[in-house]
Formats: sequence, C-alpha cells, structure tokens
Amino acid sequence: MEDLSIAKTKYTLAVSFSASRGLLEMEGSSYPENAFEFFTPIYEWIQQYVAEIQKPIALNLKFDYLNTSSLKCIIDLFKILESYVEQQGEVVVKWLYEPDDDDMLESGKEFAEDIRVPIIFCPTEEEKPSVD
Amino acid sequence: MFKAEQNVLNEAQLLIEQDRASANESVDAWRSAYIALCDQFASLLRDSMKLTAAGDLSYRRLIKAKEEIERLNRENYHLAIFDSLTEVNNRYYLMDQYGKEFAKALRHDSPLALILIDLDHFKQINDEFGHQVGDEVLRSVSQRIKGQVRQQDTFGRYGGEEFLLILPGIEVADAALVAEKIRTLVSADPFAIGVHKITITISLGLAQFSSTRDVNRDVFLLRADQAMYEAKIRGRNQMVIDGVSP
Repeated sequence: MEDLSIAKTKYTLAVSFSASRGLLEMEGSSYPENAFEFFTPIYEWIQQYVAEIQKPIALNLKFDYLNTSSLKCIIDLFKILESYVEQQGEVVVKWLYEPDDDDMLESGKEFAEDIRVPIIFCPTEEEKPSVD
Repeated sequence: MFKAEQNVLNEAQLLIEQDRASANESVDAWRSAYIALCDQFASLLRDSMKLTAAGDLSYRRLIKAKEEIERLNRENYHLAIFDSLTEVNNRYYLMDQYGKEFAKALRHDSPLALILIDLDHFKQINDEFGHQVGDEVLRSVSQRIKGQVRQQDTFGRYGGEEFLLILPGIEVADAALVAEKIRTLVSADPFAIGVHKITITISLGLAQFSSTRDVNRDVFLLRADQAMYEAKIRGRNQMVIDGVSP
C-alpha cells in the first residue's frame, strides 16, 4: 500500500500518511472551496489501510483554522476511526495545539466528546535554541 | 458531504411512497426505517452540536486574530508618525502635514506660517553632559514647546535638534507672538535633568506664506530655514522673520 502525501497550501492541510508506520499526520489550515473533495482521498486511504493493513493507527492533528465544512469532514474522519475501533482496531489520536491557544484545545475537546476514539491533547513544545 | 445522511432520508421517504401505493403495511419494514432514521437523527444532532460549538470557537479565533492585527496596526501607525525619542511627531508626519497645508494655502491663498526651531549649542550639551543628557534635553524641550501648540497646528522633530511648527490660518504678527512665546518659555527656566540644571536657548526662523513667492513647498520651507540661520548669525536666542530686517 502506498503512502499518502499532500502538500500544504494556503487553503488546505498538509497530509502525510505512512502505511508502514501507521502514522497519519495532518497539519495546517483548511478552508478549501470543496472540503469533501479534498477529504475523499484521505477517507479512501484510511479505509484501505483498515481493510488491508489492519495495524495500529497513530493520527496526529495540528490545526490552525478549520472552516465549518472541514469540521464536518473531520467529524466523518473520526467516524471511520470509530468503526475501526469497534472492529478491535487500535487508534490513538493526538490533538496538538499551541500552548497559548485555548480555543484550539477547547475545539479538540468538543470533538473528543462522545467519540469512542482515544484523544490525547498535547501542547506543542516551543523550539528552544540548542546550547553547545 | 451529507451523502450518508441523505441516503437514510431517501430510503425512509421511499418506504412511505411504496406504502402509499400498495396500502400494504409491513410493520418490520417501518420499524427498521424508523430506527435507522432515529439513529441518523441522533448522529446528526450530535454532529450539529459539535459543529456549532467548534464553529463558534473558530470564529472567536478569527475575531481574536483580527483584533491582534488591529492592535498591531495602531502600534505601527504610532511608530510611523511619532519620533521614538521625543514622542512628538516625526519628520515623515511633518512633511505629510506640511504638504497638505501648503496645498490648502496655495489653493485658497489662506494664511500659513512656518516656524523652524533649532536648539542653540546643542553639541556642547552632548559634549559636556553626555548623549543621555542630550537626549533628555531634546525630550524636555520638545514637550515644553508641544504644550504651546494649538489643536490645528502641527509640531514635530524635523532633524537632530531641529523642530518644525506648522501654523495654518495665522497671520505673521500672531505667528511672531507664538514664536516669541516659545522662545521665552524655553529659555526662562533651566531644565532639570538628573543632577544638572541646564539653560537652553533656541533660534527660530519664521516664514509667512506668500502665493507670489512660494511657488513650491521647498521654497517656503527654505525661507524658514534661512530665517533661522539668520537668527543664529545674529547671536542666537532670538526669532527672525524672513524678509524683515532688524
């Protein structure tokens, strides 16, 4: 199974899914003209992974801004993961947010509610200059 | 995007249509359709609640970002038009206002006066007391002058120790009174800076707009500059009106 990689644009997320590692990463802002169109290959990839690979999934999400359509698409994404969990699949979602961004944390908690997928909230580390 | 939800609704509607056509009641079919609809409705309700909450948060983030941009804009505007040392308007703002006032005077042949102010022997202050004291002198002098400026006037730092006062709607006699008032105010009381008490005098050049002479803004400004230079030559701590002999 091939990896999925979509480059980040001003309006769409960076997507990097590795089949061999089971590591799925999405990052950036999402307000495309057609959110569903953008998310379709993402759903297809995960559905294929779930059907063929059947290994654990680690999904890392770091969002700056999501429009309402993209929010709905993320809800649908969680539903796919939820049914994988119901079929004994292993899924861990990491919701990354800037340490001072309370709204993004709260937003993630809204998503986490009633969803049978474990979500961990992680403030992103500030990059410290290396000291020799 | 709502395809799955739409499918459930379509199936339920189809069942109603079929039932109407055949008048054949199948309790099981009804029950399963009803259950599917309820499930779908519950799921949709859950999603809408999330979407509403997350949407509101998203909107709040946007508003916060917008407010931050507005704050930065205000800050930038302040930095763009004020001199960071003296906190009076800077040269950029002075020249912008001068351009507008000059154009107005030219168009309506309305009165406009310029007073160019230069601190006397400022280099000596820097040499004797150091640059920090020199900076403080600039700050104090400009604040003292600023207190004398009318709402419609523009006052700012023109260069190193040079300041410009733009006075629209004022005749030369009144402008001369303003200049004299500023001169005496600055020299009357010494400035207390740290442990030092420093007496400061200023030289002022006054030019009154003349539609025949001042063909462009540079000429007018140059006349104020020349008058100020004349005040220096005549011994400083005085005001010279351009074109008026002592």
